[in-house]
Amino acid sequence: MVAMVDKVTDQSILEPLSALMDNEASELELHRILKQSEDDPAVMQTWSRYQMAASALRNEVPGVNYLDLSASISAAIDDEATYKPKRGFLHSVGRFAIAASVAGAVVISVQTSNFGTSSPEVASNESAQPSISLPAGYKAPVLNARTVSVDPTANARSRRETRNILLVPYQKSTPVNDQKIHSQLNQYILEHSEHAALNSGRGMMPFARVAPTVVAPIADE
Amino acid sequence: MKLSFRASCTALALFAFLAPRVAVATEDQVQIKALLKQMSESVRSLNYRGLFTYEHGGSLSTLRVVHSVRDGIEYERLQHLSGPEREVLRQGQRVDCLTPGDQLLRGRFDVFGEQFEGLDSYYHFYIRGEERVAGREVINIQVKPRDAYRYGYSLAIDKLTGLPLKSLLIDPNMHVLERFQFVELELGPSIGESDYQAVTSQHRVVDHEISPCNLSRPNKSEGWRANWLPKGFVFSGQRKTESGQDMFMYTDGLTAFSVFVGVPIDSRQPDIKAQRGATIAYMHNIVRNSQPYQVTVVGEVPPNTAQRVAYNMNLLQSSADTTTP
Repeated sequence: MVAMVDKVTDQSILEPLSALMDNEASELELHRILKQSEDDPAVMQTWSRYQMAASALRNEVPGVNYLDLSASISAAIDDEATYKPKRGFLHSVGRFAIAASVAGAVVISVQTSNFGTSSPEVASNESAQPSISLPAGYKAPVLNARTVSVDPTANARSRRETRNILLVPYQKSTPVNDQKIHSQLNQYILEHSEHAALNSGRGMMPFARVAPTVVAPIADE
Repeated sequence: MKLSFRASCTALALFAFLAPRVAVATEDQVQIKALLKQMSESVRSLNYRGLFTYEHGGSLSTLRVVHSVRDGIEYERLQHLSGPEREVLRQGQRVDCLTPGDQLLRGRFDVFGEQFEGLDSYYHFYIRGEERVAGREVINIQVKPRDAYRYGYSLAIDKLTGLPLKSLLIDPNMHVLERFQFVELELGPSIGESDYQAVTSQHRVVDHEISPCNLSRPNKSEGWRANWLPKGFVFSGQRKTESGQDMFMYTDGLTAFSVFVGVPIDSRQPDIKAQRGATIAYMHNIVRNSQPYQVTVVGEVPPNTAQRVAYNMNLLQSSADTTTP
């Protein structure tokens, strides 16, 4: 994995880096490192490798980070937009950042086009939920649910237009089709959870995902 | 001189650092495999009663679960303690019936041939130390997907029993999409008949024969086939839903999704993507043999996975007549 790391373009930076490791770098050297690290990302990578090796020698390796670091470095090199591990994975988990959706309501976004095509950007970008970070996970924010009805002319709209619809159930103004979709999705999630409860190794936990079924005022066809 | 001395020190340090890490990493992988196997076994074979929380998008619900095995048969009840009264009852599954998901988690995946090369081909696994959950010692395992078609997890597995006491689902931006966490766990409790009777009228009895047992070769779906699946996902069963839709199920051992095919609600309807917590639903209308169908993919997978699966479900010609709505 080390082989995947970029090489520092200007090898002469290694000596000041090494000196800095030993706390012996002059101010001039320090400035040079800082400047060069802006131009050449490999300098920073080398620096963190040195740090890693040094902490290993001091016996204070966290026991995790080496693999992590190389993964994030190679991800950075590939500049893979879909998957970018950030440093301090556990840290961010600890802070419990939660992608928001609204309790009890299914967030629905309607894609008004792209039948039969599967261009990747359609799927990847407009996730239906805005992301918020919660400290410790217990201060749930008050979410302002905006309700937008499905526009029957939506099909004719410009390509790749996407709007988020928070289907707030039991609202009389919600068009019938929304209600139907909503209850059908709820039923699907229920049926899916029966499958997931048998095939993902965590017992009945998946059933917790099922929202209360609501007898929605669906108009008969 | 100064340079070469330092450089060689660094090289030496790196080497000294890497060599033991590699050995430890291998040891970890062995331990992780054993833990995942144990997790899959104990969740089905032990007697326990516990309270856990489920959290997503700022909402928190609490649930009680009771699980026991009598004469080789599982009995389970899950009760929602917050919100409207609801419970799920499941009984009748034989403990020795391994679903495809169990087979994958327990390393018995040779029956799936090339479809499945082992969980570590699809996820990176790391041991992340120990902590306490529900007053018990657990080992944390971090699970990172190797591709963009599935999510990652953070699992806390009970040191003594192997039960999963915490499970976080994590998206590529490191957002936690959902969290299951036990707050209390009682092992080997006295469980009576009353524990398996519905307490409320709002209960659902779950069909236990949803997935096949102990496959000796991979199953194939009938009627419809997924022309594309993310690597490592295997077909894990199909059935007719209550509303008459065809349901096809897929799992990679840790992640599961289901595909529903049926009559469209509205055949002119655009694609719909819905999300609650970690569960995504992607609804897409297609026409096969001049018949409109609605394909909906539901599961804890990224939206592109759901969309791609939905676009690649195909009607099998031989059964075209029988599946016509």
